[in-house]
Formats: sequence, structure tokens, C-alpha cells
Amino acid sequence: MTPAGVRRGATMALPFCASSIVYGLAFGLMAAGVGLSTAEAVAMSALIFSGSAQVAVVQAWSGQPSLPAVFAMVVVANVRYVLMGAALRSWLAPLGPLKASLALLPLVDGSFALASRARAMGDNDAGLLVGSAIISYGGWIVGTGVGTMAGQLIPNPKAWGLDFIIVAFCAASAVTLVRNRTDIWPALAAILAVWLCELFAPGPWTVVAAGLAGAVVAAIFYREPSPESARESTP
Amino acid sequence: MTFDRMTLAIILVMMIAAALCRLAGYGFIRFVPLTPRVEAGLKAVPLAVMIGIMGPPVLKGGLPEILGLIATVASVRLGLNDLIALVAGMSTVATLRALM
Repeated sequence: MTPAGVRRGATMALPFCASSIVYGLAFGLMAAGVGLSTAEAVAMSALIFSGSAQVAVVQAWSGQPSLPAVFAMVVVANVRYVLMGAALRSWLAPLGPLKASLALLPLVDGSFALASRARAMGDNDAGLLVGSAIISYGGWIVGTGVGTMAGQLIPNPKAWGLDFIIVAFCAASAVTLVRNRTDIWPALAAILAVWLCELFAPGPWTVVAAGLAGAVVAAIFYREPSPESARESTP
Repeated sequence: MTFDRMTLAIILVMMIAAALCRLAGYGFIRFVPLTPRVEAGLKAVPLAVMIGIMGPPVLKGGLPEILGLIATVASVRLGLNDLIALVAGMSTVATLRALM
């Protein structure tokens, strides 16, 4: 992990920062609507940094919420990070447990996508993961704070297509990530998983189901390199 | 700076849950022997997860999302810069949403 990598990740993630700000504004407005102060809303965004979890909890806001229910809501909205953390293991392990944990705490969909893609193209700087996460984190906090005070002023993120940034980025990355024919089967398994989930039980677990389906299929289809191909690769 | 005590408790519980999710995968995979097969599975996770992230909005959406996706992928295929691909996708979606 290098400072240059962190800076590069931050620059590459500027579009995510823009959408974080606008979604932060929307969340801030929503938080103010249920009576949270600016300090409370900003603290929540700073300590949790998970739009889907925060929106779920604030939408269900009541005077006497049950803490276990809140816990469960956040876990369900964030299970996908368990899978992403597992996939990042071989990348972050050389940093040691403390630095790796610090690098994982601000993990978001956008930074995971950006970093995985860079890694597939041969860029192994873990700073990309951290830099792209930090810039989105900053946007989320600033957006939340402003949103509690001036949320009415915000543009509708959907009208601007801002909700599409993450979709477009994942699509662009997917194009680069499919390298050879062995990548096709896990991808098809993931598509099937998404389709089935959306059909029968749409929810935050769709991402997890897709990730697991892809991983399981890739593991099943894995073939030990045959002695011939091993010989061919030795000069 | 006003903090309600119940709100503070909720925020702390949420923080613990979110941090646990972000650290758990990294922590537990240590106990899984990293055979080439397991590694092949983990290597497939990023692409599959990205499909999981973009799938639902596209399936739930309609023509704007599908054409936006095509515009993005086509831009990447043409070798255009990432940012241009994102803008192409977003503006396609925004324009079609405004028209429809």
C-alpha cells in the first residue's frame, strides 16, 4: 500500500464521491425528517458508512426501537461485505492484521469494484481500495451534514441518473474482468442467482447469492493444471 | 451538538454490526485452507459480486437502464476512458427517464 496508490484510488473514485454526496443529502433530509440532529446524523454516517443499512434503520425509526432488531437490519444490509472481505484476504494479508482491518473498515461496493478491477489488470496497490473508499466516505459525511440542514434543495438523484453510476461502473469492470472462457460459467451462475432472487425473494442477499454462486461454480469447474500445460509454461 | 441517549445506543449498535460485517470475511477465511480450488472460487467473487450489484437495478428498471448498460459497455469496448463510459451510461439513463 503506497500513498501514491491512495491518491490514485481517490482520483479514480471521484464519480463515486459525487453520488455519495447526493445520496448523503437525501439521507440527511430523511434523518432530519425523523428528528435526528445534524450531529447525530453525521455521527451515524461517519461510524456506519452504509447507505442501505442507515436508510433501513431510519425508515423504521420509532421512539423505542429494539436494539437487536437494529443490529439484525444492519447485518442483513451488509452481509455482502463478508464475502468481499474474504475475497480481499490474499491481497490484504501482507499488510498485517491491523493495517488490513483499517483498510477494510471503510469498504464499500464502489471501492471493491474499482480495486478488484485494477488488481485484475495487474495493479496490486491496496492503496487503491483505501483511497477510493475514503473519497466516497468524505462525500457521504459532507452530504449527510448538509442534507439535514438544506435537504429540500437537493436534485432528485434518479433524474440525474446518479443511481446508475455504480451499475455503470460494475458493468465497465465486468467487461474487463471477463478474461477467458473459464470466467463465463461463474458469471452465468451469478446472473442466474440474481434472477432467481429477484423473482422469489428480492433483498440485500441478492449480492451474496450471486457472489456465492459464482465462487462455488468457479471452484467446481477448477481443474488442476495438467502436466502438459505446466511443461509448456516452463521456458 | 445534541445527542439523545437512545440514538447514541442505536448508532453504536449499528457501528458494531457494520464493522463486524466488513471484518468477518477477512477474519474467518484464515481458517479455510487456501487450496488452489478455494482460491479459484475466491477469485471469481469480484465479477460475481458486481453482477449481483448491477443485476437488480437493471432487472427492476426498464428501457433506460438496459440502454444505459449497453451505452456503458459499448464505450468500454470502443476503448474509451472510464469516466466517459460512466457519463455515457448516466446521460443515457437520465435522458430516457426524462423522456419516458
